[in-house]
Amino acid sequence: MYFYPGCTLSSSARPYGRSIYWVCERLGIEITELPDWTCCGATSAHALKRDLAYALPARNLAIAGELGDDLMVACSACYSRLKITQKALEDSRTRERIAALIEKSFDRHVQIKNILEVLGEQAPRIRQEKTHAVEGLRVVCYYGCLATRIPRVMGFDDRENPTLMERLVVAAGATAIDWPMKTSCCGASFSVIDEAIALKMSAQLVEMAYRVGAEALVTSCPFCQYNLDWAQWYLKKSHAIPVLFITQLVGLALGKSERDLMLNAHLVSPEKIVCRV
Amino acid sequence: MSGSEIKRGSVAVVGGGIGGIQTALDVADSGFYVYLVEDGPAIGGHMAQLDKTFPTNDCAMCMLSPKLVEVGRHPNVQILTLASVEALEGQPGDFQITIRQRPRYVDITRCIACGRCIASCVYQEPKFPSEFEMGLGKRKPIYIPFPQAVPLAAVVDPQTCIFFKSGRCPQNCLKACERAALDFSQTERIFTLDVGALVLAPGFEPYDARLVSEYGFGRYANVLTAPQFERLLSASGPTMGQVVRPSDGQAPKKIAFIQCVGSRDLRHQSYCSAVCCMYATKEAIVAKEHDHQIEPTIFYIDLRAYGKGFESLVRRARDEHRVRYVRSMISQVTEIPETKNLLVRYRDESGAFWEEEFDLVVLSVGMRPSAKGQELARKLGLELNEHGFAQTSAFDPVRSTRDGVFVTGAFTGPKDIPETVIQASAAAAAVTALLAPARGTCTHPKRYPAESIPDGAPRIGVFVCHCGSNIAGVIDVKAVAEYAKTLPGVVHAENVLYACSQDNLKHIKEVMCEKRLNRVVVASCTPRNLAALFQDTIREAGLNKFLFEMVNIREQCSWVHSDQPEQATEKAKSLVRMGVAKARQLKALSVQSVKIAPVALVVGGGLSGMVAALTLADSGFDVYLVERGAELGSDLAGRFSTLEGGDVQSLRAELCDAVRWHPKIHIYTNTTVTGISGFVGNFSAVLEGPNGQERIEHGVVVIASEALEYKPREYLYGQDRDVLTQRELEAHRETVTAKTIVMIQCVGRNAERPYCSRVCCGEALKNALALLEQDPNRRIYVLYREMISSGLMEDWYRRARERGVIFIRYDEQSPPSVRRENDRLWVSVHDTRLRQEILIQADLVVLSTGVVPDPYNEELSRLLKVPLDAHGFFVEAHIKLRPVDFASSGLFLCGGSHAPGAISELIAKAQAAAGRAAIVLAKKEFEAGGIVATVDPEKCTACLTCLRECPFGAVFINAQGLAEIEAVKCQGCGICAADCPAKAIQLGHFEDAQEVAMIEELFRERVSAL
Amino acid sequence: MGSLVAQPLDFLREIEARSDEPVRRCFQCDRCATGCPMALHMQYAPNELFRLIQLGAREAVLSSTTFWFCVSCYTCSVRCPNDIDIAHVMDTLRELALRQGRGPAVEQARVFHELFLDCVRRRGRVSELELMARYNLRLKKPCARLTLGWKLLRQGRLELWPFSRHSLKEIFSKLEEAP
Repeated sequence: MYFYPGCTLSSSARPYGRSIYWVCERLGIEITELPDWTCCGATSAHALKRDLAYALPARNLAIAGELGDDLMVACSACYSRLKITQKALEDSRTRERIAALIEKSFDRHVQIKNILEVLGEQAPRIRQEKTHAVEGLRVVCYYGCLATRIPRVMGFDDRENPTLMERLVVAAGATAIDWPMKTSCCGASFSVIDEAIALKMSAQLVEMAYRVGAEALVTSCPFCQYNLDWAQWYLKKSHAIPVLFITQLVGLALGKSERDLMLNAHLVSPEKIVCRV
Repeated sequence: MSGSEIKRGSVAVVGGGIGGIQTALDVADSGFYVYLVEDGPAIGGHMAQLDKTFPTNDCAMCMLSPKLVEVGRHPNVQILTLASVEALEGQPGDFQITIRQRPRYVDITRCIACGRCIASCVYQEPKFPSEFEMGLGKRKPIYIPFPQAVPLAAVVDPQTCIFFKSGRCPQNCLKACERAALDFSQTERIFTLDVGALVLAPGFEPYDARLVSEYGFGRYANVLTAPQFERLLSASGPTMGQVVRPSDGQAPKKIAFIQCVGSRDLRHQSYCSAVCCMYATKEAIVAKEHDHQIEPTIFYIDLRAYGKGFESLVRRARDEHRVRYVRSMISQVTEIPETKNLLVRYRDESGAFWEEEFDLVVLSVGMRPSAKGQELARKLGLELNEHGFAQTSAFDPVRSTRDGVFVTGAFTGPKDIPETVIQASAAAAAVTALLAPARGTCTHPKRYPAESIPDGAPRIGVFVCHCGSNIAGVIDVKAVAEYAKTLPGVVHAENVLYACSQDNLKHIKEVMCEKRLNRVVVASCTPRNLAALFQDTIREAGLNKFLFEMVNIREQCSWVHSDQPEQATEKAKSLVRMGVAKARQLKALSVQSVKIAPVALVVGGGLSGMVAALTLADSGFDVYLVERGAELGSDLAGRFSTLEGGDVQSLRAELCDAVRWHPKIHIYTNTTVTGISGFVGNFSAVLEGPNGQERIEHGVVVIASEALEYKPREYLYGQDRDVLTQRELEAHRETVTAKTIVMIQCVGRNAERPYCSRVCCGEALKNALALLEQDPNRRIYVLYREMISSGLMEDWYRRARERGVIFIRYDEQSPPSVRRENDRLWVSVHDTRLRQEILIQADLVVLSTGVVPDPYNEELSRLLKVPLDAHGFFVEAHIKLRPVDFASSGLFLCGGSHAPGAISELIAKAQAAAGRAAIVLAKKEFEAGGIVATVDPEKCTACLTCLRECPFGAVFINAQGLAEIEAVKCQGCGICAADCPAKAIQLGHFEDAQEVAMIEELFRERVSAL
Repeated sequence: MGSLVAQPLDFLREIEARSDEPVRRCFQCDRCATGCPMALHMQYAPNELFRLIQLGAREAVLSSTTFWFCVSCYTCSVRCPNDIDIAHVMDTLRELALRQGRGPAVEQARVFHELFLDCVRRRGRVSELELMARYNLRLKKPCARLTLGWKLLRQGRLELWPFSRHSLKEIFSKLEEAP
């Protein structure tokens, strides 16, 4: 299966990238980085230019289509843009226009799979092979906006109350607490554009996680992880809650060390959890 | 219609909700045998689960229970529960249907619903979600569906029963049953029935709130659906009528209702579910009545209060009960983890955002066609529309796409109870017209045992009803029964949970036999609904039915003294003492048979009158159709199409032709009814027309008066040639050249005429779409207060928007204005969403003016002594369950002067009224006498007071020169008896001695002194 | 606020053609407004903006702040009962406003998005270090987020040497030429 990592996984979300490769290898999921991939355009492309917003993901879809059937995506923004583009390309006029633009064709329909879907299939194995590393750790799962909210596209889970990540968390031995802000917005690019707005939104999320008694937030979105992590660090929260990538949590459960999973590379130190471990 | 030469006199009605029940009763009462096929273990449908019904907030079970019992006891209705129709063969008039009946594992002829089996079940506590309680209560694998269930018998659910799941169960239930009613060897039965026609009434399902996951149903404990909340409000519900939060059992204070959950939503169902605005209003009021602390808020898009009495209910909710209405839809519900309260975000009228905490959220889920109904349609080869509702034609609303198969109720689209009942009666009328030749060929007249004339001392039995908690919640009913035992003549007294339930009626008969009772007193509710039922019960036990007395300790006691339980109990004792005193004095009365003239008089030759006349004539009865004007169907003049594309002028032409050529219809145009006398079955009317006076004899009257378009004074109407009404626009639609057109809704709707005319929004949509069809480049603006595109009409509202019609809401308090300036017409409207004044330069302004009742109604009202409401519309016998009957026997109503309606609705109503009238005519004769007045010739002085005062003309002077009263005409009103100066007249069952005995008994002692 | 004269449907048609979304279907239920996390910052709620589009109030719409505050969370889009992808209409309006040379209501948003896309144009991928550095310079706040940057750098979470990978200049320039 080809893997589209997206730009952040080699920089700000490097811990995510690392842990994905390790967990996949450990679970026997063969992934190969999509050759010659380019940026999906994230929120910026669709913010300013419609056809650019389709062309950038389309280029990657075309490459993936030349090579295979499946494409795993980890970053929620990338996933959302690829899915939205694939939906838009169903319209023949859009398809022709975009094909001319990128000088590639889309002969094969590529199954775009979110990493949660891919890992979800391995949940029984995770349950079997887990250590006690995160046993009983109380976590809330945070999906953010883009993983499940794709207009007119049937996602991998309920849009408003997804539960796939919870199943993974439980398989890893931790305790998933239901909370009402699973898919609330963290402020996204406003953490750069207008800090005050994003800080407030992220802070509300963390506050709610604290109120329901979570010891950690778990997410599958690089930007969400960054925003929640950054907001707590910036606001110097006294009761800061570490924000883990789902693959870091699963990695811990499967016996990988926190150093290998880059748990030390977070703004809010996951020390408390790691000490428990 | 093509069909078999053979016509069978039996009919299958599929679905045992209120629609199926009403159809079954109407068809059976018309002389046909009915198989009522119900998928569940009991009939009653959704109405049985309701606490109250809008717009009168009457107790739903109190209205439904008599119907359940009536259909359960009807000699010509056979109820098949746990049964479904699998196949249909043959042709109209002669069908063979295949029925599949699942095993109940309980023999209903042996089961007496004593509950021993349930008590002995290996599950000590109820464990499985109760279907009837919408999952809020629990049941065991063996259970009785609900206390008033018909048939009242236990049922075993094999899905949860240990015996069926594992085979290892001690089967305590089997041993506990004293009547050997349980039978675990029962298997599925498949059999065929011969029927002449089918009526399908499989009803609806509430929309699954889980699918609207942003509201957290199934995730947050304190988010309920409206049907669940209805159960919480119900005195017989899982909390005995206590409104409490599921999370902690605490009484909620702030309750949010969210409207349109699953409705008016392209992600779910595009149509409007038609009932939710009103049921939310009702539930909000009832909740508030349960607990004054409750503060209900209703979040909505458009408030659709379009039916009779709806507008005033909403006004009462807002002004008297302080229900808060907020026009802002909720995007999501968020649970606050610590309190389990629910946070919602909304905007007020000023556009300001608010976040507010509620203790409880109620989701107003919509209606969807039931899965069972859709399966049934597939098996029977019926066409469904895009939503899965049965396809019908606009001009024949109960006819399916298969001949001989009729459809009714929510199966044809979302609708409320009165509309369902109207369609049920309309379907019954269609069936009886189809099968008219076979009337009476399959029915079995009810037979009673010989009547014994009681001699000797009174032996009175007293039954004191709990009525769930309606009575027992206030009055100490046990004390009342104990007290009754001490009264002279009483040999038996006891408490019963529901006096009207089938098992209790059976019980009464058993006690009568055992204790040799010769008088029965039931202390329960008003005799209006149930007296006839109890009378029939004692008659079945061989006693004259007039040896019965009913004491009203609910309406006249527990309900009005709910905050003084002790005094209420004392009053109940006094009322019972009076009832027993009267019972001691009761006499057996005799009745006689009177012939019915099989002829109908239909007043009004508009759409409704013509449909009613045709329906009656097709059922085999002669009809006098009387029209004041020169032409039939003049109410349809100038109307060309319906919203759905029906051709109104063809309809008019077809109806006029059919009426004209029908051998049984006698048309009198330019004719008025100037006098009417007589009584049901034997009316006599004077018609005055171009050829002078004529007297006709007839058995029933159908008033089919249409409504008129209101002629406005507002918005330059009559002063500016570019201001028209919708009717005028439709009449000249083809020649309109205007480019920019503004339609103003609710014109003339004011304090004097506050009601919604129901049809205007649809008319505006129709004309707007037609104008755009002619010229797509037109600009059309519709200025509205609430868009009333209820039910499936919502799709047309969406289509109009998609075609480019722009809808702007204005507030009642600041209506639009129209002015002519420099030869240009300007419309100004305050857009409530933008909170800004919008100016539109219009070429044409069209006013949606609503409808007003025909002023002629006042004359008809005097002539027939039937009531009009404050706005001049006729008042039906019961807004929910008798929508096309007048309270007086033999009089029926339909047409726009009953309530405004679209053409298809008026047709259904006319068919229903005709069907109800046909039931009377089909009986051939009826019983008269009993409670009638008689003159004692010894005392009569022939003063003629009674002759002058009798409103029914029942008094005449006989050969001896003394007053005498014709029993058949006497309605038992008692005016003559009260006014006779010589005290020569006695009214049967209300004799002086009986009444005086009651009064003396009331003052004989004060109970509190005991 | 003065009164607004209703204009022909041209502007509505233009927005619908550019977005492929049926803006006219909106029946003002208010869900987009009550669900929007950014609504408090917006001059008009999305449905109010739609009403203005329906009335042809081009100027008021294109100069409004609403779509500049849209964070593209898609809450409105997935909850709209009329199935309008509202967030996508916001993209359309932003694109149209820029095309017509209107200054954005939130200048940093445009700067951020433009720099982001410039990175993509030149290298095919985004280097966060480069993007943030250029963003700070452009906004004349060269020292913003210095501590944060240093911390991330030490944690190995910023790529120091962004390689030039696959330039997408061709695609970008073709789009520049497009009308």
